Amino acid sequence: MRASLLLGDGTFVSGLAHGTPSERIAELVFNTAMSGYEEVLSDPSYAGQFVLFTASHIGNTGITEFDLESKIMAAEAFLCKDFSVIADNHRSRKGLETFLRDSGKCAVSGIDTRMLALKLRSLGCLKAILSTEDHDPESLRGKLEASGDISSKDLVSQMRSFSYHRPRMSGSQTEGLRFTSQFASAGRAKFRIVAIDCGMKRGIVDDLEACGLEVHCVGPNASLLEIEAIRPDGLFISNGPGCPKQLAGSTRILQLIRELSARMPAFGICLGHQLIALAYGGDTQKLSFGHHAVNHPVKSMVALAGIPAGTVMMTSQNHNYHVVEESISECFEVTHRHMNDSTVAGMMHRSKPVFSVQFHPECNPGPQDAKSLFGIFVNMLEEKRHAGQN
Amino acid sequence: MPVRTDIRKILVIGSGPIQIGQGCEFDYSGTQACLALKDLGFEVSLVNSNPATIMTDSSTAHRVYIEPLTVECLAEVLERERPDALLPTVGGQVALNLFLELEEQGHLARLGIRTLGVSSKTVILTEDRRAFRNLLEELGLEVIRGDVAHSAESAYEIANTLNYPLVVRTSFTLGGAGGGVVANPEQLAMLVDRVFKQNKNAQMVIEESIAGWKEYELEVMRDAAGTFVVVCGVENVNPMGVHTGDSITCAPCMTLTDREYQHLRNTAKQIFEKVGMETGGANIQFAVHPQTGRMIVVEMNPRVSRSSALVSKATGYPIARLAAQIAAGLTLAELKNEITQSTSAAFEPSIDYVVVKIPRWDFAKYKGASDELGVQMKSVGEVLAFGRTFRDAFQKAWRSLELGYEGWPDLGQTPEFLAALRAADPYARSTAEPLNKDTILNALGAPTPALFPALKSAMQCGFEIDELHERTGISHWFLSQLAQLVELEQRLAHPEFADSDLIKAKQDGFTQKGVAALSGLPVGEINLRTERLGLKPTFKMVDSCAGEFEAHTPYYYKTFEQQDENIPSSARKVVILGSGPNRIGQGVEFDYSCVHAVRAAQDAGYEVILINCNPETVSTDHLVSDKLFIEPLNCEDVIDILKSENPDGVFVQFGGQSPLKLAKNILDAGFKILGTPQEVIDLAEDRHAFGGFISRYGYKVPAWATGSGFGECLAKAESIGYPLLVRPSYVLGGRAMKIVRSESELKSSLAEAIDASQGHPILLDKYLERAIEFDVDLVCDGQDVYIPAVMEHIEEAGIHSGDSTSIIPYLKAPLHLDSPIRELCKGLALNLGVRGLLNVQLAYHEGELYVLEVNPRSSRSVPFVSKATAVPLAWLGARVALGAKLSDLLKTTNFTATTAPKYAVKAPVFPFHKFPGVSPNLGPEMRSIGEVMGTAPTAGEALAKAYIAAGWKLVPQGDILVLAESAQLEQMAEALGVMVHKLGCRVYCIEDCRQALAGLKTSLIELRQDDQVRSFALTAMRSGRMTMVISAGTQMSRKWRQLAAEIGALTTQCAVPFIESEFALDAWVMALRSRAGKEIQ
Repeated sequence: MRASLLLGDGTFVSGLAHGTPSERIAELVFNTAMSGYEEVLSDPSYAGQFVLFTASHIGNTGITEFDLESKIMAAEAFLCKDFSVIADNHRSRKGLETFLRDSGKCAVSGIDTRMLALKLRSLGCLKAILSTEDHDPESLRGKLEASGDISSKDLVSQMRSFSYHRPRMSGSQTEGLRFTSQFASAGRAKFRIVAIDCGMKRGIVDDLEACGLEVHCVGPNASLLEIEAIRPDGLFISNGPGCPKQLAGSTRILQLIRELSARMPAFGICLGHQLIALAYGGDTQKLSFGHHAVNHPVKSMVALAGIPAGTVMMTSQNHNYHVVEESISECFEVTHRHMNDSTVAGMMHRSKPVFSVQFHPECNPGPQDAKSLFGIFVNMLEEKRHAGQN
Repeated sequence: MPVRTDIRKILVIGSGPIQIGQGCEFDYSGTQACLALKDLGFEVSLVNSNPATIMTDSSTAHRVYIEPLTVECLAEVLERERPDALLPTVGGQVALNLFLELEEQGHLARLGIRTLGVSSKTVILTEDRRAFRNLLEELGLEVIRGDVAHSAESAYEIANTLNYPLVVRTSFTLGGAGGGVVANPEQLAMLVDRVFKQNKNAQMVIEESIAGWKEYELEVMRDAAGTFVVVCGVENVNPMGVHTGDSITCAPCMTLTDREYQHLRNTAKQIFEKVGMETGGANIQFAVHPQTGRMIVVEMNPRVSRSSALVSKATGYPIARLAAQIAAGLTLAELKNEITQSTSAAFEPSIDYVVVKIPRWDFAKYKGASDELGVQMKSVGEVLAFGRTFRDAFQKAWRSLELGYEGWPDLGQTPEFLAALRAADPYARSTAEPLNKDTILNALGAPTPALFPALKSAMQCGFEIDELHERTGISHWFLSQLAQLVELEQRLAHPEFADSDLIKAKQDGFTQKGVAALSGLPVGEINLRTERLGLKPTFKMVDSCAGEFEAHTPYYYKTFEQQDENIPSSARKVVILGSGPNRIGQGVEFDYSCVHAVRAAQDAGYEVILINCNPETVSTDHLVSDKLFIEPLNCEDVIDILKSENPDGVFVQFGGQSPLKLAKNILDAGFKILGTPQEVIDLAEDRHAFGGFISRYGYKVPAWATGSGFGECLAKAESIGYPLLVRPSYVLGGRAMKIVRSESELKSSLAEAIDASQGHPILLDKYLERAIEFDVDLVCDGQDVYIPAVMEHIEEAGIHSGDSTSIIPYLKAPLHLDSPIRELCKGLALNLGVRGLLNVQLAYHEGELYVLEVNPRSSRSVPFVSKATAVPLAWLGARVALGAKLSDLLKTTNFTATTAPKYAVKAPVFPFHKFPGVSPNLGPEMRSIGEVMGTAPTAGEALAKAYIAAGWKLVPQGDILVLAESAQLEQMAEALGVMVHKLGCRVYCIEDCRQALAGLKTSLIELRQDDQVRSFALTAMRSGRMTMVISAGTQMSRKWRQLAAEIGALTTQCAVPFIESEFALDAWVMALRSRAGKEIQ
């Protein structure tokens, strides 16, 4: 089966199709991680996007299911150089081809992915159409042009229902791997938090729970009353797909963040970070081609939770938007900075327990250098409780 | 953190000669480190005994000591230099061991010298297997079950608690010498016996076997601020059980999920910190059980290594350079990624291609050595290939080996198979018959160099992946990739193959020639078809970041895709072809010349493009040339680059035989060969043409003839008379070259020579016995000839020049020969029409000078001559080839006189100790792997230093064992007398020698039985009092010859010199006397 791809700039390529025959329009982004395609494809933040993997071989380890970040394949489709015909890993439950079919999605391989990545690097993210039926560039161009602005789609509400709780790992799933977090608590949860789920990665829930938190998920449209009824100790705002301003415009989420973060510790990751910035009067902008990688260096600008200022971490990143530094409210301090382009990678309120990071401390995929940042949120919850008791 | 200001002067320890397990990767890392430290403003001195390195060039450091790497020499240098700090992490295990000894002996504390990059605590923790094991257990990590034995008894106790097969290793060794997989208690007993008899203090690790597990390596770095990065993960295609150096490996890791990969990363980070390593690069190896995922840490090397050189080339991340910079106090965050020049060096490279490394072995040189691969490394070199997929890179890597393959071969195409055929039928050339299943299964049974070819044959015979996995332990994923190649070949195997298959073939790394051979179509037809399909070679950048950022100092590899990223400049430019994988006869010496040629062409104003596929080398550091292509030195691959770049000319004279072989193809493709014209190269190789040249100008050569077939050779031999030197044409390192003394000897060596000759005629030369050989490397510009020095061989003519010890200035020959030799060489160069370098080999026999060989190219001895005389020969050669006049070059540059004020000796280094049972006899076929240099005011001391640097034990007052025929001893008696009377040696001999040595009187002890000889030899060697074993003469009885071979093999395990001629004996006597004198002082 053949698949053809037409980019917004007129670039046309075709290759070998895999999965379910389909035709889709989405934004094309590239990810440079060399491992973790299972996590990437199921990361709800990739909703509405075609993911181009720069790594040569995809599918080698099949799908373990345990490593999925949501119930489904969130990305619209993916592109790679070589699609593995077999899955070879002791934890693998099914092949990538089966996963694609089960998800009703497709992939294309055998194309010059590096050429496309270089194009995206210089032109920025491009809208694209991928089809397993239509191989006529002109006809595809017509469809692509007629599709209008895809960034206006309400991706978040689509995505949030896909969050899921991971099955317990069997013996063969865990052998050789240690998942226990340094914050793992025995017994009852210490704190109850509300997570505004905009398409939250499973790994975040895992890490929050591993810190001894009881996580209650609500949608971005949740009301204040609804949340208050849970009587949370803290607020978490998740990652998610699309433009933060779009989400802010279609929901009352900013007001929710403002009201709740005034009363309780708040922590945001990725989209959550952008929403906190917006809630406090900041601005976000689209990056040319985003950060989609697991090798981006982030520097700590201030000492936090025992990590000295100047510490450099290898981080997992996945975002097309960033918080404009000049726009950030005076009451925030930049705590982390991206070392390559100096964009804001983390910030903390100067007087309130509000903290957010643009990158993914839960990783999945990527290096686990930043896991300890969850501890900052826990410290905030502890301090708040301590202050309340006094 | 800024650069440290508390240190000003740093001493770097190099790694010494090339050995198995320690190739030229340490020239690469050492050079990078020295230059990086110099750039930071430090005063750098370095010690290394290997002259054939860029590292020992005077431009690399402020002061270069070419001295033996012994703790005594180092202590002397430290005393003199008084550096503030020592950097021992870029010279391999040799440098780390020396550092430990220096510290143990208190030299560092006494002189107040600090150590950069590593501490003795770290080295001991990672080297001492028990300590490392404890550390892993403290971290809660799984360890291999087993223990360390300190005696034979404890070895058996440990073995009783484990299941066979077991893995046995001894500590503190290089490339894992002295270990192995032990299948049963009997084998264990043999090994235990050997190890503890050799060394009472030996440590022996006995462990459960993790053979068959998946094997991974992470190359990691950490700076003083705690920034930790994994530069790259490498997955071994061979599972555990075969040394990484002997395994086919690939990057990135292929069969790990992210979760598992991050687990390895976290573990590596924990271990790095736990061993107390502050900064630098390290390599950590893991084994993962394929069914359960149980992960075990195998080992850690707290230094840059062969793998780090490979990973640096594979990713563009310069590990050694950064390791030196962060050892000097900088942090990764302060350093830029030199490829992008805009992003930080604190990152983990991402690659959008696959690299495959394949080792190269040279078992044919060590007859009798087992070619089974195990925990002890046996390969002598390696190649690295880049491709867009594993299949693409895998095919290219096989092509890069220069074994005549166009891609992955099947068993029928391998030399191993041909050798086996020949064993059955000495006149067999090859076979068209299909291989039988037993042959294939046999080759799959144990890992040897033929394993992957056998896998291909097995797949062609229809074996399923599951079964092949069962038999070999190779992961399904790799096997499925290989199966795709076999399936594609089957589709290509008839002339009407589909266009889509041709496209796939090109993307999977097949050459036009390869497709042509499969389909039975002529190459021209395949060319037409690829052209019609618009399939063109495209060059992709190696940019360290998978295209995410713009790259500025990139290098390239070829594949067949849509976008070509190579933008050829319009500058004047030359292409320099490198020397490919290291092998016996072609090693780092040629890379040295290539790097100098690059600099010369740059100095002459050219843009320089370099092509090479050897990841260990300095030439494949992308900072050396203006543009680098890591590609096979194969006709199609090279021509594709030339067509893309369209250079003004191509240099083929610096990389040894590999590029020379391509000269004709390059000319045919319409490109210019720089320097000496192709006709001259052909003239030098074509015996008849060269014979005509010689007689035209009245030079003398030994009587010679050429013959093509078996019968012709025998007839020609008869007319010249024995002894004869037999050799194939167009080979380097004297492959299949032999001295034969009778027709029966000729018969038994002809088949191999005919095979090595590949259709070219066989050369037969009269062998000049007991002649003195000279080696001259010169530069000629057509008008002038410049000869920096004349080298004299210590060994007689007939011993391969690469295996001879050479000395400058010469020692034995009469002084008045100097000017006739120079005149002769000058005449040869001018009359041949050489433009650039020329190597001439001469023999002085019964008052006459004979021309043995001329090589119009850079030779193996060029670096030694350059170091001995301080004349950059290769640089001069390249400048001249580009049109400069010697007279101008010599005027503007400031070279010292051609005769060195002191003696310089080059001694070869042999790998025999890695091949137990192989006798170290020297002959016309080269068997040495590396070289060292010793310089001193006297010849004796220069020889002594060179011998010590080469690893020999010098025992001036010890025992000498003589196993020779009396005729040979006449010439040796005097030297033996000197050793007995002046040094106090005792001579032990067999009965045959008694008469000839009667003059030694009471110091002569006769050994009557061969058992007596054997037991004496063992005791004397083990106790370290054996000065040498002398074995000479071919007419000895079979019994004594066999014994001599057996004892010869033993000497290689104990570093005892094995002397075969009076020439070598005289040199040893000089060296020993010099050392004895020194000790008395």
